[in-house]
Amino acid sequence: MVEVFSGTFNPLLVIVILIGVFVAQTVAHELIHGIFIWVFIRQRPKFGFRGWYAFAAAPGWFFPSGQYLVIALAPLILLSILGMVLVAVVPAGTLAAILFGIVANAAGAVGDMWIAFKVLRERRKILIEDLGDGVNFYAPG
Amino acid sequence: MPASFQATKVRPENAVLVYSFNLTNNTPAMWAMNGVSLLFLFLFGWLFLFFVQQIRPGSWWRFFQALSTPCWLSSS
Repeated sequence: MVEVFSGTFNPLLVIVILIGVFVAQTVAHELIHGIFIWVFIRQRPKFGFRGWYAFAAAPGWFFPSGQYLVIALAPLILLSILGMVLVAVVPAGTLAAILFGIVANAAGAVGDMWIAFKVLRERRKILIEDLGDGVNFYAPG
Repeated sequence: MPASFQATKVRPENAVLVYSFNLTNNTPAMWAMNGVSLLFLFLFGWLFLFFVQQIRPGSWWRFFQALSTPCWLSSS
C-alpha cells in the first residue's frame, strides 16, 4: 500500500492520491444515496452532475420524511463510521489519505445536512421530491 | 394527504408545495453552499483529526511532520 505523507514528501504523488481519494469518496457517497433510494422505490435512481456537484436522485418520486432522512444522511454516517474503522486498522502512512476522504465526505454532505435540517424542522407531515439539484416539500392543502 | 409511510410516484391531489429549493437557479445559494462546505472542510478536519488522535495516539503528528519535511531534506 502506498505510504501517503510518510517518508519523502512528493507533491505530485500527494496531489494524485488526494484527487483519487476525492473521486472515490464522491462515487461511494452517491452510490450509498442510490442504494437507499433503490431500497425504497425498487428502481434505479438517476445519477448525474450539476456543475461540480454530483447527485443521486429520484425525480418524480415523493418520499416521506423518515425515508428521505435515511437517504440524505446515510452517506455521511456510514462513510464516517467506515473511515473511523479504517483509521484503526490501516498502516500509519495511509492515515492522512483516509482522514482527507472522511473530511471531504463530511464537507461534501453540507447540502444533505441542510435539507435534513429543513425536513426535521418541518412540523407538518410532508412528502419530499428530490430533483437532484433541488428539493420540493409537499404538505396537505 | 394519505397517511402513507411509503415512497409514492403519485403526488397526492390535495398536496400543496410548501417549500422549494433549487441550486441551479439560485447562484447565491450555490456560493453560500460552497462557502459553508469549505468551512466544514476545516471544522470536520479538526474534528476527525481529534478522533484519529483518540484511535491512533500520536499518529496525526506524522502528518504534520511529513508535510513540513520536503523531499530534498528527507534522509530516505
